[in-house]
Amino acid sequence: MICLGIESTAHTFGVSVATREKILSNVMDSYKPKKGGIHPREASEHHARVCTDVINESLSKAGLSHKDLDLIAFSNAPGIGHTLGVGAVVARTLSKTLNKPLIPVNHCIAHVEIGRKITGCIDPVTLYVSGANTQIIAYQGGYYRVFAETLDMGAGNFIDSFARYSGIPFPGGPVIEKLAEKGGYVELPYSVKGMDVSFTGILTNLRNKLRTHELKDLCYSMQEHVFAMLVEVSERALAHCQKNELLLAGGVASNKRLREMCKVMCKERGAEFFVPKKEYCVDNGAMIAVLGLLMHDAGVKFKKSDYLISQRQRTDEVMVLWR
Amino acid sequence: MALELIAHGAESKLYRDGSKLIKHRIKKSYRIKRLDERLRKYRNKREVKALRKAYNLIKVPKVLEVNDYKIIMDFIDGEVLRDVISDLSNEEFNSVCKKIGLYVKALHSKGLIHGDLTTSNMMLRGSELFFIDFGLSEVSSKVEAKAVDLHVLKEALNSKHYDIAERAWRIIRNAYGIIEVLKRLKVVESRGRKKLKI
Ligand SMILES: Nc1ncnc2c1ncn2[C@@H]1O[C@H](COP(=O)(O)OP(=O)(O)OP(=O)(O)O)[C@@H](O)[C@H]1O
Ligand SMILES: [Mg+2]
Repeated sequence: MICLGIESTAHTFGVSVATREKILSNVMDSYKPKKGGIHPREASEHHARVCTDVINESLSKAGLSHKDLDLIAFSNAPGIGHTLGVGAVVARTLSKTLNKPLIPVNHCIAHVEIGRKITGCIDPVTLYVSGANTQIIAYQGGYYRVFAETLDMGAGNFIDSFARYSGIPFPGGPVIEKLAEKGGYVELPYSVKGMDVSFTGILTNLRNKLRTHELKDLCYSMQEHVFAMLVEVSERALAHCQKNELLLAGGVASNKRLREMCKVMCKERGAEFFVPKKEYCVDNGAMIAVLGLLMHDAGVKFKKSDYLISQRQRTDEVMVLWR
Repeated sequence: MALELIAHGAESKLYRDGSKLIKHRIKKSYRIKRLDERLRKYRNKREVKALRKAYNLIKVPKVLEVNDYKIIMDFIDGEVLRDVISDLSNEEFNSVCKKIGLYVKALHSKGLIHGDLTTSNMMLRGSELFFIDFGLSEVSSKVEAKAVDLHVLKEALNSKHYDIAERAWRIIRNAYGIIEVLKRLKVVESRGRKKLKI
């Protein structure tokens, strides 16, 4: 069974070819805004421009052609309407012309499933931190349930906004990580409400401090505060769900300091920490193919409306029939 | 006398010493020392303040002794609600949910926000309900703060006790009854859903 997975919820257009046993290719091309944050129309134009090349490269890296495919999976939710639309059209066209089944996949759940597949963890609490999403997800009673989330913005978007105010170009995360290495401590707000976190207050505070403090100190302190918040709510979720595996996923998972903090927390708690390598943490087609295969094998049935894109579908709206 | 470790929470280790409970906020090596000490001291202080204030409003353990990172309080010889809520009889269930609503109302009416309302932070001793773990509490008379407090509770019910969440919430909401806050809760919830917009 050979599945082609297409990811297009935000910046990245990603395509992967995978079987049940192996990920054969994982190709991506990301839109980078010239200035400011993501521009939905420009992002979708980018995806439309690169989609054919990315698909062809993914197939050729896998050593296969269109006619070898048995299944087409695509991320239909959640994300930016414009970019989701491109992936949906491409996927639908392939499925129609090749006459192969089409599987709509929830992007957030795909992050969890590829993590489980790659790292071998079984029943993790997942800390999923990307641009738009910041959630703590755990499986319970037939659904992936959201135990905690951001009350305002995603951690990735928060970091990029801070970068923008500081004059650092998009994506700001890696530059901030580098600057933070030489920084020192400045007290910032720390915002945990129950298991939820919020970032707007910290952003305003940082913005005001830009005039009076050194950027490297703010970068360091931002990371120390914000990642401590994320790790703290992860630990709360582990305690509350009585689970002992933590899986880190999403673009922000590339940050070394965040990984280290997760690792230390798990060690102190006697839990195990898992994180896939970077190409499977960021938005990618492989996770869509992996979940597509799982759903296909579980015999998940779809109504017509399930194939539509959904900008706001929630993680806990999808019944999990493959576990 | 040997202390008995009875729980390892997310931020503390809890020991029983006869009729007393010692809550020790332990060091977290994942965060830098200055932040770690700031948070532990601050939360310890907040918890003590809130427990003392709440003691006159609802059932909470009585604070006996305090230092920077430790609180000694009454030991509640009961069960954590999380573990028993599904086994309650209909009548007990209704009564507990009603109490939750009334307790939160009593706290909010005096401007006390619990900050971490989950069934892990509630205990049952017979038919007596206790609220514990006020480390994230704050003093605020803002409708928004109260609504977020309820949002945390509702989320915790939906995720951990999905099978009974709806029934529980209906009773809690009715007993709570502060219309203005319940209205704002709807706004808080819709904000959560819209957040995906970039
Ligand atoms: N006064 C008490 N009497 C008896 N048991 C208690 C008391 N206070 C706490 N416990 C027990 O200890 C557990 C953890 O307590 P508490 O929630 O205060 O700690 P915590 O570290 O803040 O927890 P978390 O951060 O995981 O919410 C409770 O769930 C309960 O089992
Ligand atoms: Mg607790």
